[in-house]
Amino acid sequence: MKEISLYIDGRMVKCPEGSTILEAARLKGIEIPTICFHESLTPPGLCRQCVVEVEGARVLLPSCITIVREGMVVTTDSPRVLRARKTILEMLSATADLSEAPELEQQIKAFGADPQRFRPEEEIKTGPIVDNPFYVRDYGKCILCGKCVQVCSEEVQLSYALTVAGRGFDSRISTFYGKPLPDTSCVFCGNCIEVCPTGALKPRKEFENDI
Amino acid sequence: MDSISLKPLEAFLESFEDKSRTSLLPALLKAQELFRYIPEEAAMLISEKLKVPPVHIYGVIDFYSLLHTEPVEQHHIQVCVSPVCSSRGSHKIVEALKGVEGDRRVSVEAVHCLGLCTNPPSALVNNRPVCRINADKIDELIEGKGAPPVNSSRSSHPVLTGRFASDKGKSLKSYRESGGFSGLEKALSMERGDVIDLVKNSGLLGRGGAAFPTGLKEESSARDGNSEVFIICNADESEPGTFKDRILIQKDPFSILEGMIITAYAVGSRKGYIYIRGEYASEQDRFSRVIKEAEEKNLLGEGIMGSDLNFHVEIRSGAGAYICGEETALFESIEGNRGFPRNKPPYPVNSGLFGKPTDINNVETFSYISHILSSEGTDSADLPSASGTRLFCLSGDIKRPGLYELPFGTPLSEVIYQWGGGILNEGGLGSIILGGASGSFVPPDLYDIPLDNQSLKKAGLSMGSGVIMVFDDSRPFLSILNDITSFFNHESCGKCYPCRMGTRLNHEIISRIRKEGARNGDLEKLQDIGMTMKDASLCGLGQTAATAVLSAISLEPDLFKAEVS
Amino acid sequence: MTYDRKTSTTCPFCGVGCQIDLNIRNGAIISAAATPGKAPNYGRLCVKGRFGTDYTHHQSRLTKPLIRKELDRGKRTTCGMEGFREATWDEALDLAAQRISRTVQESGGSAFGTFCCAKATNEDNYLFQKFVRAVLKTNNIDHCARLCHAASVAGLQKALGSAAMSNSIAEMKDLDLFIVTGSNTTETHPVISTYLKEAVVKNKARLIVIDPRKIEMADFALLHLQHKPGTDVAVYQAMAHVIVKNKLYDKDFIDRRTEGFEDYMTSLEAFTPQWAEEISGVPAGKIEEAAKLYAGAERAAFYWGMGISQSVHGTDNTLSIANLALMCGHLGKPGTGVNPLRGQNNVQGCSDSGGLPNIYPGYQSVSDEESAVKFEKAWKTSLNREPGLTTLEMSDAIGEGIISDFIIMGENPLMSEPDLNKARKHLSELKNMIVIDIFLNETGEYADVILPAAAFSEKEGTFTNSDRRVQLVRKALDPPGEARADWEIICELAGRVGDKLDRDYKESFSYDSASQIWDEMASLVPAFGGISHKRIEEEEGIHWPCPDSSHSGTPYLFSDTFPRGRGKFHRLDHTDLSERPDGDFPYILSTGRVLYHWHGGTMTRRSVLNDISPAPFAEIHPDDALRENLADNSRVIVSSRRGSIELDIRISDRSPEGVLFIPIHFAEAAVNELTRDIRDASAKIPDYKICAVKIERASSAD
Repeated sequence: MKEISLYIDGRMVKCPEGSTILEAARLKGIEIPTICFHESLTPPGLCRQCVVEVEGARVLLPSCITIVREGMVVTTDSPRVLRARKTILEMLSATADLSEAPELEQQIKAFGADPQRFRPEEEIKTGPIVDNPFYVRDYGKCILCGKCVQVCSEEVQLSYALTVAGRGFDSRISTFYGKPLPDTSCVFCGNCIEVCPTGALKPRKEFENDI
Repeated sequence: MDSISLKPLEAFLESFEDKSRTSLLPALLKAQELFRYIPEEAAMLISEKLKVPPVHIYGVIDFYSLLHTEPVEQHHIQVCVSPVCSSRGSHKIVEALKGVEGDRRVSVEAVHCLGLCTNPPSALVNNRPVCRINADKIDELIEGKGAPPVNSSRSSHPVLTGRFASDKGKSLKSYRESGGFSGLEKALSMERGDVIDLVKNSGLLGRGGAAFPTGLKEESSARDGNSEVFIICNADESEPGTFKDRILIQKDPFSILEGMIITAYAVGSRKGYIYIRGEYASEQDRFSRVIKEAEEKNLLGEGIMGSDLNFHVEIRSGAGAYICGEETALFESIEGNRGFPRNKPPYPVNSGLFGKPTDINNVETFSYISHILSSEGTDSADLPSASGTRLFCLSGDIKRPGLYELPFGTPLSEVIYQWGGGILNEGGLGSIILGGASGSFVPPDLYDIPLDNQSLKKAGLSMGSGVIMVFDDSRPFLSILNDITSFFNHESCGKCYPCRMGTRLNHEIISRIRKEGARNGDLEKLQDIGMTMKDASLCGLGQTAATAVLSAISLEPDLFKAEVS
Repeated sequence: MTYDRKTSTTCPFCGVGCQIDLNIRNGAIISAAATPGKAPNYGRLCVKGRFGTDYTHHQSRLTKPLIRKELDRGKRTTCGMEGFREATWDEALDLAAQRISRTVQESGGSAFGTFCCAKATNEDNYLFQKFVRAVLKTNNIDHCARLCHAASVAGLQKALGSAAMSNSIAEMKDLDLFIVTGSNTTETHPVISTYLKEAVVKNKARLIVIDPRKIEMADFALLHLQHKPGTDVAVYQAMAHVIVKNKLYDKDFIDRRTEGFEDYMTSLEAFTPQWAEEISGVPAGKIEEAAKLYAGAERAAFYWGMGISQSVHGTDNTLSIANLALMCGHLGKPGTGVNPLRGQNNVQGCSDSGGLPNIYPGYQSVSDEESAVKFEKAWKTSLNREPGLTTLEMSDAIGEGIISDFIIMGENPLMSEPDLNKARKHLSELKNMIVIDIFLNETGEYADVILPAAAFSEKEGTFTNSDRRVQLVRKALDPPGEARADWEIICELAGRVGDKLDRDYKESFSYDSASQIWDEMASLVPAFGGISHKRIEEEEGIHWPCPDSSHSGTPYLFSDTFPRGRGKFHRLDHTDLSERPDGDFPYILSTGRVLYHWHGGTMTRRSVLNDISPAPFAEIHPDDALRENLADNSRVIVSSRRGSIELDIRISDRSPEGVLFIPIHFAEAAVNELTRDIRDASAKIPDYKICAVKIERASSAD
């Protein structure tokens, strides 16, 4: 396979053709934070936390899906990049309960984000949905990374019980017409729990143990 | 719930040639029309017939504003609350209608721009446009009575609007009499590559907003004729302040179709779509008659005009989602999905609709292609700018709002004062937004700027889809901004983080500042959000959704700072 | 953190063999997750593996040895916990040993019937069969494989000489064309079904489902051949007819690798698709299309389950599939093959480890002198050359007064055998019955001595999954109370039986670990020669055959040759249903499983899984329900000539008209009260999928 050389943060990196910037960076141990990325799923490129600055590009590019080119010059920690990452984390903190998302909490610390900055005066609390014997859905913790929908659909289970519903900020994970899970095509494989990064999906026993 | 009969829906579903997911949106729009919402049983039936998982159908229904999971009322009224209509009191009308919702079998919905900006405020009552509505005449409005839209247009160098005054675009016959389809005839006599070269050499830039060279797109999407290539005409005109596509479809639809057929020949396509926004019911009717007429006269179908060109065009209706004007979201929509834009690359010319090469252009662009071919580009030689004329949508507090076809390079002030007649009611000029909700406030020192892409780019501006919204000095900046942020809050698809959260937080902050004044840190917050959206959003919507706010900050920074006590 | 520690192990439910992490908190499993990135499930699990292991903590776990309060009072009867008293291990083992040795002395080994266990580890099973063969001197050992894939085994043995799944789970994603038949894969092998569905949806593989029910897999199929139950051979023979008629077979493969084609070819004349349509109800055109697709595919594979094998024609069903695979050359390459999807977590391993009446571990025949001598030498004792009885033959032998003692490890024949009235009658006539189990189940209630065993999460060992992958079972927790690992119990029992018989088995039944037991078996089984616990640990599972330590295992079989040399074609005939519906019993009863339960329900009915699927039901076609004037959820009595059960109906068009479907998991309406004990001639598997029944409104419903 052909090898590509590029520069990441001033360091020359050689990687196989077709690699993403994220893969290339990890080869050199250069850490780029991710949220919606999952090793075994198709990267949806939606959280934009892994954006980097690429010379010649008008906007920042998501490193998880941007394929390297020969001679590409990439900066992973420019002020523009850092501003975007910090702001994304601050906005997330304002819209979801991240107390059980250790990786995100770590990023918040690392990028010096202020979790209180955008927090609304009146927080709207959504309660956990306990509608089946197996697992609990607490969408107050959901960051809409969409991994649960991915695994429920084409990526793993092909059971098609979950979707992103709504639009914009009011997007949410839902079942068919919002029905309780036992009335849907859900087979309770729980593969969605496996990929949930924030504890929004949790085995019921763990949930009951925690409260 | 009353039991409903699924029979008519079932018959409709049987009528589909392609019983697969791509027929989902047409099926759902039909169900919405039949039942005034989409009952679960209807969704299940559609799921079974089109082989789409039920939950995906729900996800699609819940994405599009025109599809409902609860019945809309007998009188379903969509009132425009985008900046121009809003400044003429449309919010009050919404309030008034809400007050009678229960007893009058009314359901009301605030929507953002119906392309009726020259007759504000406007609304759709059961999908029919009603203009210059008034909070005092609610009864008439509910019954759908009111002024019809008036489409005024003028031009110094009529090319695109050349058939408007004489109404030669009315029928296929009159269209051909006025030179229509001579461009196609000529194209068919040329080598395909030469057609592409002609378009390339014309310097035509896309008219949807991104101003990408049209010929280049044709060249990259062209295939040898053995593999599938799609042509799409993007008529999902939804940028607040834009109404040119609607008028073009009404006044000269055949020129659009001709442009599509020429392009089909050039790139080797057999199938085209025109995606018209769902709110444009009468334009959809108009265009479907156009297609039918063209098919009857062998201008569409197999062996067009005796050549070996085979090309079919299908109309697709949007369902109330601004984002579907973004090309990849539009593909998703035709494919039967939520209108989520795709990450690029791959670009549409390589992998667009159904993963095939796709040449997608705006209505105005296709129309222009027909003129390039029919005139060999010579007519525009006497124009001040080589790239010809373009359509400007002038609206707001202006004496003569309307559609203006003017040469590139016409100064902004000339459009407003000479063509538009200046500010309404002899008021003072307050602000100008160029490019629609995703455009910017023009700094006062640039009011004379020539409207061409280079000059605007240099000044950090863009004419986008040709929108010029003018506000007099009584319109508070923050009110206009509030309408704009409300628009994006409503229209962000929610896929990527910066836009999903940024559009909401932007709106929350602007609306609070408008009510209570700014607090410490607001300016920095808006800048961080705005820059993050601009730099990191997935698609053009998110990347431009904060443009107006950022431009307002640079014009009037004090508005966003806490008062020093 | 919601848990204190975790242990990676192998799922105890189906034959997929998913790798799971048991999350432990306060000495109990609080949750389970897929072991990240590990084959064969690569992060995927189903509801049973993820949520269903809580049965191991159920309050009714046996924690102390139990002895029947009233021993030897003539005909035994069923009794609940109250019929037993707790005992010390010493007392219980001594009693068991004394009763066993008495029979050995009085009647010899042929008086014993023994069941080993497809849920227990390879090591447990190896030791159990060693106990049976070396101590009891009988080959009367069998297990539930007899009741599930015996016909697949018999058929594939005849055709190819090996009965294991020929291709690996990992190949499934890359299939080109595949046929799923007699397998409700999404419910019975959920994780495998995700790969199969993925092959269709993501990789555009073509799926043909051949199944009487509209199962979920049919939603993903290009073609669904919905044949009448019991007409499989007709459909496959007609497919073969089409392939031969159109010369779509692989001449080169047939020449190089098979025998008997000419003869088989000439036998196909009468089996036209039109003929098959009349018998099976599948339109001839569909049969033709399926045949052409299968023969025309570059790579094509068969996957099947109980629908093929649990039949009086089970061996023929299997042979009809093997004929097709041989004639099209769809064997011995990735993405091809004949693949019986194994049911139990270790049904493959239990057979591999010698849990069958005719073979030692590694499929070495008990009547083969060389093998017998090898085992005699290794076990330092004499062995019986006479092949033993199969499961149901052992049951029959009780009635015939030949067998007086049953020793059962982990199995529950009083749920799983057909015609339960008969099965109960047989058990009640036993003189002695020893049970090793983790729960007191329907069978245990007949026992004299019950020895409490460790569950999968409480012991070390290995399971071998459906594609012959040997994987580790690791101990996460101590067994509850005084329960012990099965192999430890067997060692104790062997030693004590030896004492009573004045023989010394202590040395040959003395092990420090499960790993040591494995090594002994590997030294005797060529196909296991290169496998050790240590290597499995390092390589995360190994597919046998793996003859030596330098061999990396065999994910797909038959690439160069078949174990029997050439693949053999078999002439076949369609034979009628074993019990036709008639005026008195107008419906065909078919049995099967649901996603949320496991077989006889001993485990899953004691799990949170029971909360979502708490009750038995009979699935009935809407037209049948209308005819019987029954509303959804009506209470009914379903009866056959052998018995009757009471349960609710569920109206659904999944089953065809005229067919009732009842799951096998529910003791309160045990469907095997109705089934018939009639068996496939070579495989001895009963005809679970077909018997004639009637349906009546239950009086309690009025």
